[in-house]
Order: sequence, then structure tokens, then C-alpha cells
Amino acid sequence: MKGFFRALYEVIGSPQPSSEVPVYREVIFPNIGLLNLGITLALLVLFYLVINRWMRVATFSRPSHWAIMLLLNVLIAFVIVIAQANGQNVVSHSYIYWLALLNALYAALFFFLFSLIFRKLSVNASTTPF
Amino acid sequence: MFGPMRIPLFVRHVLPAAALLLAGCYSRSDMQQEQQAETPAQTESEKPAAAKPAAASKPAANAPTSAQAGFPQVNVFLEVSGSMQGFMPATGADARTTQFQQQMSDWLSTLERDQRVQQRRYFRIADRPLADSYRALSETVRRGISQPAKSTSIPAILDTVANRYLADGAVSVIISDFIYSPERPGDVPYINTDIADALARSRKDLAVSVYGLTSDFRGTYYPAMKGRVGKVPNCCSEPVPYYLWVLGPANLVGQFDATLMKGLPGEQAHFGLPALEVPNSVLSRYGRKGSWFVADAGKQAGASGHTVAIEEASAQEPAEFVVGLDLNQLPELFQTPAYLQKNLALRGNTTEAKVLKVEAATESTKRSGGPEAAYTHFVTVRVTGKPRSEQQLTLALPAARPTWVEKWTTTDDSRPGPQTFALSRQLDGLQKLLAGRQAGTNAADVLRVPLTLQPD
Repeated sequence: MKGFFRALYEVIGSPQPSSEVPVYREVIFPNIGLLNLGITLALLVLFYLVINRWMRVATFSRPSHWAIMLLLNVLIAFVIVIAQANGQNVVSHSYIYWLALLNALYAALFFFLFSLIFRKLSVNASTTPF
Repeated sequence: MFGPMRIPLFVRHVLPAAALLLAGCYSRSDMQQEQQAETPAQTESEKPAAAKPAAASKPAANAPTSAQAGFPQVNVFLEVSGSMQGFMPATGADARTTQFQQQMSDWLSTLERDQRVQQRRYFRIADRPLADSYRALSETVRRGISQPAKSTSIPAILDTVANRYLADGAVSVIISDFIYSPERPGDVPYINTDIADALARSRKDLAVSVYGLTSDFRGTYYPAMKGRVGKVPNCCSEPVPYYLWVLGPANLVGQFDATLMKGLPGEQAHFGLPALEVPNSVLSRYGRKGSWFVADAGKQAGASGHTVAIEEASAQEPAEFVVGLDLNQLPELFQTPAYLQKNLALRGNTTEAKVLKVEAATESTKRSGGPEAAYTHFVTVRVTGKPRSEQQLTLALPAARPTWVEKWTTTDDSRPGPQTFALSRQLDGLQKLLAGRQAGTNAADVLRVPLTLQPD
């Protein structure tokens, strides 16, 4: 699992400064990766199942509403990287923000990909985003 | 109808699942809890050591060593033959003393007061060691030798001390000018053999530390080469050397060097000390250059270890890492940054890693609060190439005979000066006997630090 997240996040090069490489590989990559997946799934469950299946809220199923959820997911993904980096006391470096940006990008990607599955479970939003 | 029933379902299954997902992550607080869980066990094991009055004078960080630090018995032998009289002249009306008198009464008093020494015995060396008290011996140093003994040969003294006064836990110190000439002048080349023979039947773990000091000398000087002048009265205009030889079990001599022999002016040489594993680590954030990281330190930021993973390194852009060493247990000579810089070597199957510089700790490193605060010396290693595979290296301090020995050696001491007849031959004898004793690969090293270099 660590290897998977390492491959996922080292597409932008190995962590900087290099003294902090072990912390990123051992702690931060798995943490932000798991959090990213978990939060994405949680938001999808909230949108497709809670709001648009069980609660049958009729006014929150449009693609624009889906986009709001996506934006929220992206923001959370960005913030958790910075929170994790601060929490682990790594030496501060612009790399942290590059990593946050990459994580936000992955969050949007995961959200979109999982939407294709989750929409089939929904009633009101089964055709969102398309 | 189904809607309200499904909400509890969501609460029951999906929320706990999400919580599990989040809880599975590592966090800083986890690590702190792990550390806290470890600390009570540590403090408990340190308590008994700290409770001993003998260990109380040392800082708690050295608890494992200070638990053993302490000398069951210390024997001091002062040579009182005629040749030593010049070091201890009877103080005249002008109250001038020699450096020998000051240094030795200082040292004897420090020894007498030291809490770590359980039992002290003092001897004058006449034709055999005569038991004395501290008071009487320090009186001799201050007021001069009242009844000079007949001169005794150095091998005889060493033989007696090494075979009869080095029971387990005993350290013996011989204070003498160590002027030795064989009965027949033709035997001078065999001085080293004489010294080695004298100590050969002593304990297997014998170590000898030699401290050379100089002092002004007022009296009659008896050169080793008696043929030419016999003796030199009203000597000397130049300072004359005298020596303290510390003999004993290797581990005790090492501790004795690091504690009671500290702060002596002059030179020193050490024979037969075992290679020490001093506290050490590669510091991941201190003094670093280039791109590398500590690979075996685990997940904590700023942690230190012994394996360095090099990401990039070239001759133009080398990687530099710093190894922190705590050399407090070593004799003072081996704590001198200049000596370390000259002698510390990096052994291994590579030409791309070299010791760049050695620095002593400064106030700012001691107060930094980082891992570097625990170390007294910092060795910077420069790596000019990325290793292709994992490489085992050893940072070692070879036990070379120090260069001062040659300067202090003379082949003719009929004109007394700051040199001793055939000193290098005496120390060669020690080297020959003791270097081979500490069997194993690290026989000739003072300290060894294993390091690993690997590609990322």
C-alpha cells in the first residue's frame, strides 16, 4: 500500500527537502492518500445515497450541485496535505504546496471516476453529472 | 415508508466505516504516545544508577557507563631514586617549586578526593614497592626525597607492578622519569623486547596509557648513557620530561583516562585500549548538503540513523552528511578536533566517500534542542558519487603511535633536555605487546562507527 501511494505521489519527483523523504514515504503519503479516498467516498455517499436516494431531497441533484461537492472535495484534499505536513513537523518547503495541488487534482479525478459507479445507486441523481 | 428505516442503516454501517478509514492513518499523536509509553521504562532503569553516590557526579545521559564507572582500587607508585630528586628539590627560602611538584601534588590530591575511587594505595619505589600513605607521599613530592633509593630498572618496576598490583579492578599509575638503559650498552636495541617481556605475563586485557609531561629540574641528572659523563650536576636549564604510566584492565584504563587523567598538560599515548562503540548517528538535518536521506531512522521527521540513501551526488554537486559522535568516554587526545581531522578515516570499498572535516560541539549545537545536542563532535562526510549498490563503510580512528614520541626521544641524553633516552623503543615494546592482544578485526582501532551508503 505504501508503495502504491509512493508511486502515486512521486510523479512530481521525490519529496523536498530530501532530508524529509522517509517521513513523506512512511507517513504523509499513506495518510493523505487514505484520507483522500475516504473523504471522496464519504462525499459521494452523502450526495448520491443520503441526499438523492434515502432522503429524496429534490433540489440538490443537478450537475451544478455535483460540482459544489467536487469543489468541496478538492478543497479538503488541499488542506489535509498542509495539515499533515505541519503535523509531522517536516521542514517547510514549497514542495508541500505542490503536493497539496497534486492531491487536490487526484481528489477531483477520484470524485469523477467514482461518480460513474455511485450514480447507478442513486435515484434522483442517476444522470448526474451526465 | 422505507426512507426513515434506511437512515439508521446508514448511521450503523457507513459512518463507522468512514471512521475506520480515518482512524487507520498514522498521526503525530500516535508516535508521541508510543514514545511516552517507552519513557517510564527508561526512567525506571536509570533510577538505581542515579541513586548511587558514585554515579551522581556524572550526567544522567551517561547512566549506562556511569553505573560501571568507579575504580575499586588505584595504586600509585612514585619512583624515589636519586634521578628523581631534581624534580622534587627541598623547597628553599625562595619557595620556588618545580612544575613536577605542582602538577603531581595537584593530581594526587584530585585522586585522593575523587568519589569514584573506592580504595587508594600509595607506594614509593625503592628496590621494591614500599607502602606509603597519601600524606607521606604528597609530603615527599613537596619537600623532596629524604632517602633516595638505589636506582631500579624500568623493566623490573613494570614486571613487579604488572604482575603483583593488577588484580581485578585495580589500576596502577607509575610516576617516573622512565630513564632506562640496559646493563650493557649493546643491549639498547633490545629495550622494546625488555619492556614487552616485563609485561608479557600480566593480565590478558592489559592496557597502558602513557602521559608525558615536562618539568623544570633542579639537581643532579643521571643520564642513561653513563659512559660519557656519568652524571650532570646542577642540572638543568631546560625542562626535563617525566611520565605517568597507567596500567590496568583495558576497560578501567579507558575510564581512568577519560576521568582522572583529564586536563593534564603534555602529551599522551594509549596502548591496548579496546575499540569503543561510542554513541553516534547520522544527523538528517544538521549540516547537510545535497540530496540524501537517512533510510533506517523510521517515520519520525528529523530522526537519525546509520544508513544514508543517496539520491544524487557528483563531484560538482557532492552530498554531505554529518555523523554526530559522543566522545566523552575517550582519552582527551582523541577528543581533539585537529587530531581527529587528521586521523579519522572512512574505510570501505569506495573512493567516493571521504571525511571532510571534524568539528567539536559549540554552544549553539548544545542548545539546539535537536538530535545534534547529544553529541560532542561532528564529522562531515562528503560523497561525490551515487553508490550503485549498498556499501558498508566504517568510520574508524586507527590507534597510531602519536608523532610527539619521536620528538621526545633521544639517543644521547648526556646533555639533558626535553627528551628521554630511547622513549620510542620503550613505547614500541608496548605497541608490539598490546596491539595484538585485543583480538578481532578492530584490534588497532580506538573507535569504530559502522555506516551504510545506498542508492535511493
